This record gives sequence, structure tokens and C-alpha cells, in this order.
Amino acid sequence: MSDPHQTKPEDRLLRWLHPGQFNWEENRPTSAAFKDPEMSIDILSMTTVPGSYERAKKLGKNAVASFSYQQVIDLGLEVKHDPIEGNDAHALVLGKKTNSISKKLASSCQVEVYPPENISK
Amino acid sequence: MATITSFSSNSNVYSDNLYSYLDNPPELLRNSYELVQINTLNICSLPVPEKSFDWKDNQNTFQRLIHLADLPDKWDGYSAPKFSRHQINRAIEIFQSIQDYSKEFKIDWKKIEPFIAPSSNGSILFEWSGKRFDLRNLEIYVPLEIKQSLEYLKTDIGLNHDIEGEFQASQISDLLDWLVKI
Repeated sequence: MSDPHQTKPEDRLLRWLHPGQFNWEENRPTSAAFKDPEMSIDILSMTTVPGSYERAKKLGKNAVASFSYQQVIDLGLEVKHDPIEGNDAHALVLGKKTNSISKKLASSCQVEVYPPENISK
Repeated sequence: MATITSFSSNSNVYSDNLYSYLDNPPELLRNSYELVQINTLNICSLPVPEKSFDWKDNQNTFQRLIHLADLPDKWDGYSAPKFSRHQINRAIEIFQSIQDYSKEFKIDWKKIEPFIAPSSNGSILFEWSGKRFDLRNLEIYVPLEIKQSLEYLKTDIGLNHDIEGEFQASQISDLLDWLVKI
């Protein structure tokens, strides 16, 4: 396990998406992916997009979105580094995700890895 | 043995409760089901693997709702809980109210059909957003627990303004009025 990471405003945070949470007609994530009170993410400066994507695929997820730490702070949320076995980059976005906050995260995030074609799980 | 899990949303063959429907299918479907069973038994005794639901290409509201039941515990790769029958039935009731509204006000279903998505906190999202709704967006959440209230989020795009709150199932038409009536 690594030492606790001091998150910086320029850090980007990665979130995995289930294909049901992705609007394929419009190629965008929905608010449904950003609702957990303790929302798991990976801190990009401690991993890579391909590395995070590989972990996601092992759990049947196939898309990765990112948003900035500054966005999270601006929405009144906080980030806690929470390394877990096999993933030192793991962290939690803490705070109530009101419906408005979830929608803002969904509309402002950037899709780093789009779901591949012919995936149905 | 194969399980019947797919219905057309336009066929009006489902009842108020999906599961009572599965327990008591109408005669035509029951006969078809028995026919499939007979053919399967005669031709091949091996079980037919079930094809997983296509979350990418299947945008049908009703199909997406009933297939929420397929998602296992931790389906999002994190800690999302499994959807319950009660919760899915509650969502189907909302879906039926939207269909009733569409018929009553003669609004093309394609123009008012919501997009359904499973939420990572266990709620079910009904979304009216994107290209079809460039002035106003609406989101409805059916919560995990039956005792919890339904929630909405109204977004006025022009004013960049959100309003959220709780509502009763009987008030769905008020929300749809706001969405479609200028």
C-alpha cells in the first residue's frame, strides 16, 4: 500500500461505467453512474487510463470517464485516498450526490475509453 | 428450461404486475410457451444458454426495466446493490403512467419515451435529456427502498437552472406537463 496521496486541483479522477449507464445513441454517460455517497474512483496521477481500464474489464465494465479534482471541490464534495489490495490509486469521492450534482458530473466528465462495439453485459 | 423474459412494449400484453403476468400468462402466450417446450424436448435435451441483455442496442424502456432484474449484486464493478422486484414493479407503474399520458395527449411515444439507466446507488433513472429535449431536461429516480420517495430533477437549459425534489407517483403528469408543454 502506498502513502496517502495529497490530491491536487489538476488531478484527474477516473470512474468506470456499466454499459447500461451509457447513452449509446448520444455517446455520453448518464447521471446514473455518479450517484454513490462514497463513489469509488482511481486517481489518474497514480495509475494510467489503460491500467484502470484493465481493472475495470476484469469486473465486466468496459468504459472509463474522467473528471477533475477541481470540479469535485467546486461541487462541495471531497476526495479521500483509499488504497485497496491491487489498486493503490483507489479513492472515494465523499459527500451527498444530489440529483443536480450527479447530472453536473455526467455532463462535464470526459470519456477516456468508450465502450467497445458488440458488448452487452 | 427457457424462461420468458421479453415482451414488446407496444403489445399491451403485460399487466399491472410483471411477475403476476409471468405466473398467469394469457392463453396465446401459454400455448406458445408450451409449444417451444415440446420442440426443445424433442429436438435437443441440452439447456440453451441464455443470451445476456443487450444494454447497448436495446433502448426499449420496458425491456430495460425488466432486465434490471438480471443485474447481480455489485453489477457496476463497485458496490451497487441488486434491484428488487418491488422496486422494478414500482418503476413499471411509472412507465405505464407515462404511456397513459402519451395516449391521453396524443404525444408520439418516440418523442416522450424516457431512457432507462441503472444507478450505482441502487436507484432506477428515467431520463429525458439530450437531442430530443433541447429546452428542458427531466430526470426521475425510483429509489432502492420502497418506503423512500420518488425524486425528480428539472433542468431549464436556457436558464441553466435546476430544481429537484420529491413527488408522488400520481404527480407524474405534472412533471411531464412541465417537460413537453411550452
